[in-house]
Amino acid sequence: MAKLVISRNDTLLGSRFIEDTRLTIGRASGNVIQLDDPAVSKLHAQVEVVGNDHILLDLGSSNGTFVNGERISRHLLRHGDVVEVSEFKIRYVDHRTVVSGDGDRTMVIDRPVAAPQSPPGLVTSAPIPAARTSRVNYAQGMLRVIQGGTIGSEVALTRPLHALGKDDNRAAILRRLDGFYVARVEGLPPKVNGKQIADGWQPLHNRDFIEVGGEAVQIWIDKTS
Amino acid sequence: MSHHDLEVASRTDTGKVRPYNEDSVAVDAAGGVAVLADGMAVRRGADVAARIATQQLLETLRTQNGTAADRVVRDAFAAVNDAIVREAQTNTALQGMATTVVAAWFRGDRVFIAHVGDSRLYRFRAGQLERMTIDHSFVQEQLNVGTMTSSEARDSQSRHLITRALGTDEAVGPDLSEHEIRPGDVYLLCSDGLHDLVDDADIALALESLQPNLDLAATTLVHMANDRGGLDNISVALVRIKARKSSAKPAAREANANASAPAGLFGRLRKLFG
Repeated sequence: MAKLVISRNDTLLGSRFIEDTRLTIGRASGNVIQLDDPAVSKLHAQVEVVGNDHILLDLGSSNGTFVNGERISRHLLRHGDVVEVSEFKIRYVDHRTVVSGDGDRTMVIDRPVAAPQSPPGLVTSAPIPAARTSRVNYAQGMLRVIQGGTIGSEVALTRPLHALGKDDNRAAILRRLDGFYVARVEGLPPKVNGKQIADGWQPLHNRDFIEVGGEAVQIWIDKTS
Repeated sequence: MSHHDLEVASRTDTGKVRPYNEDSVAVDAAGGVAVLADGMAVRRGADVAARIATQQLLETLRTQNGTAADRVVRDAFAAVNDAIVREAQTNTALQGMATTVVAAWFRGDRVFIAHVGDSRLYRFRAGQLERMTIDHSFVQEQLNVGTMTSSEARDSQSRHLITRALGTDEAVGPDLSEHEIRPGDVYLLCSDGLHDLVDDADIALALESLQPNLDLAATTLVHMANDRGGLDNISVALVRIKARKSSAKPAAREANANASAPAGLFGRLRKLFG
């Protein structure tokens, strides 16, 4: 269950659970959340229920609808979002996130689930959904080329994998949360500080020298990340 | 009978949040089969449903020769569905168990892809990653009809609601498609524990840089998902098509190609909810 908590100038005015397929916000009396203020449009905004999600839409209001300080026309609400309409602050509290935290369990549903009509202006084709946004604090580091490239040049390790070597002798560097690793991909194993490494990902240390397939690099790991 | 040699690798991992691993993977290079399942349950049996699916499909498909392929695959999926339903009837603690499945069946110059639920199959060919399955999921349906944008889908609370699974009903069937295979192709079967957390660009990067070493690629995909939170069980199966054996005679190859079912028999990736 999710609810909207309404306040104005830090004074709590009330709260409202999102129960129906649509919850309207505006100055007119027919709105589920009526905000009596001339700066609020008669039909200002609405929340639509799509499955387990709540999508906030601005209904072409004169003074706009803001979420966490940004003006929006359409926004998928996330727990803790603060919606601003004129001087009113409406906080979105999603108890499912707070209590169960079980949004990652796969379940089968019996269709149909509440699905509003397609709003205008949305793409009706079905793009491949990208993976979920998540903030991850990876280790940070870079390679300095010693041999087999522009000597002395530096390559920031900004992606999860970095390929090394050529032809039949190849290796890769893997960026993880706790640091960097190197592994043989094919051919002769890479050497770290002059020694051939065992198969599989092997941890790297700051300033290690890595040689493979005629290339040599030194890794610089930023411990402050 | 298989003209192409296959190389396979697979991994399944509990992840960093769940107490149990309820995914199951089965691969057989010689038999030309890879199957992956992601089980779910009301109470118990998620792992049971997934294991029934992978073991039974592997056993059935590895011995079949690929004629009347669509019938064989549909029958095999129906048999798995029956087996899960029956098992749940005899053991009431398992009632409500179900599973997703994705299967890749390699015969001659072709691969038959079948799936139910949100476990996926990707093809990596000539540096391009292409998704070959369309999820049976609530979010995919919303994308199809336009009630949700793809950026909303990414963060949706309904991400894990699937609309089709084996074991839920007397009559649940897979989506089927058939494609030509080429030497160098890499096929990735994965559960949502991977594709929910690792984006397509990073999956492609892993396959691009590591594919000469499929075992390393499989391990690395699991690491990538765990580093992004490991919120669910993570399973991957990789199949690479090796170069054609030089011993295969052109005449024999042609004869067999003619014998196999024509392309488009299943229709390619139909729209699901039109």
